[in-house]
Amino acid sequence: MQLPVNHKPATDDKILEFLRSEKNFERGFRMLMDAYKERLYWHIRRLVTTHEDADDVLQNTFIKIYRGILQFEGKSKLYTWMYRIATNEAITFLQSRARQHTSAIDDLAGALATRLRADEWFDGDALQEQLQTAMAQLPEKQRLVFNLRYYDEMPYEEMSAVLDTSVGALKASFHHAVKKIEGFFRENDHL
Amino acid sequence: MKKDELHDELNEHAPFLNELRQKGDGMRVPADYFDTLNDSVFRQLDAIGARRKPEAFAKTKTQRSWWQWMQYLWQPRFALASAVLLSLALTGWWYFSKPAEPEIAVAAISVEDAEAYLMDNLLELDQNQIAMILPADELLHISIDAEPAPADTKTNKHELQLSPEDIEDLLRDMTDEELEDLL
Repeated sequence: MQLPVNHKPATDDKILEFLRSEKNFERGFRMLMDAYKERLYWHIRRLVTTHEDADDVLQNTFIKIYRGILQFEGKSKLYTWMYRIATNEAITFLQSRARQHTSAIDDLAGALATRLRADEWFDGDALQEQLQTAMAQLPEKQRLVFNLRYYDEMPYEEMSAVLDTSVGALKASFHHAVKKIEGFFRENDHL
Repeated sequence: MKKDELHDELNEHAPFLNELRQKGDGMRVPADYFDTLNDSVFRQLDAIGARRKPEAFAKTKTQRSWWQWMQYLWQPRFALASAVLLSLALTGWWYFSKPAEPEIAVAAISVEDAEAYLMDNLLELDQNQIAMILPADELLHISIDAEPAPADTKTNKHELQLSPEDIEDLLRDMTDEELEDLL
């Protein structure tokens, strides 16, 4: 079996072919990480906001993928399957962090703003910080949908496979999220 | 195409968010983060003892879906073994479920044939066999010598002593060969 010699990301078929070979499993997994680590990182980062937390969640995500990849049956796209794992890991992380705050939403938003300002890998302006704070106040599902649509520009059909929700429900969630964020900015005199 | 769709969607509902989106999200990553990530993940796998060893790989590889199992079992060696086992099972079922042959044979013999056979082979039968065949009231025990049979035999109660006239009649009806056999 020949390994790819250029830096062009490998196709899913090629990655899975390597992963199913005992001899090339580890190389196959490195190919998988090379192909998807940036997309998965940014998806997670926008959910958990700080680089340090995103790094933890991403590494846990890859460990879960590593352990489960041979059970991947190809019923969905590899990308969709990994997105789902990353999303679940990020949600679990956010839920455990939320339990640490006793917690009115304002407390949670305040804690997030503090963490964001302390994160050396965030250099956004006041509006960008406000957007993160507004997103943190959304219900979990709306926040996910907003992230996937607003930042990842994921089509609704693909999002439907990741979140196991109908396209109509996803469009409604996005619309509600947009309206709530707009309302948040209006209340804070940015509009 | 997809970008245009999102652009239109945001412009329709929240033009402000569309403008903000053009500025990016203000998030950065360390310069070599993605270059070192793979090794960090493998270090984590080592630390928790989850890095795959060949034997673990082989064990996981055998966890097949039902369709993979069907394909696996469809190999010639398994198909042949299955056919042999099925044949053995059917043969066993047929053998143990068929009716016993002797009953059929007895049922197929007519009363006349049975009587003829017994008459032809009467001299071959011993006293017990004759006692089993004949009804009690017709039971006949021929005792040439006068000695009685042992007292504990079942036939004792049915024994009859023949008179010399009866013996003469019997002997008269016998062929020369039967007489020779009797002597």
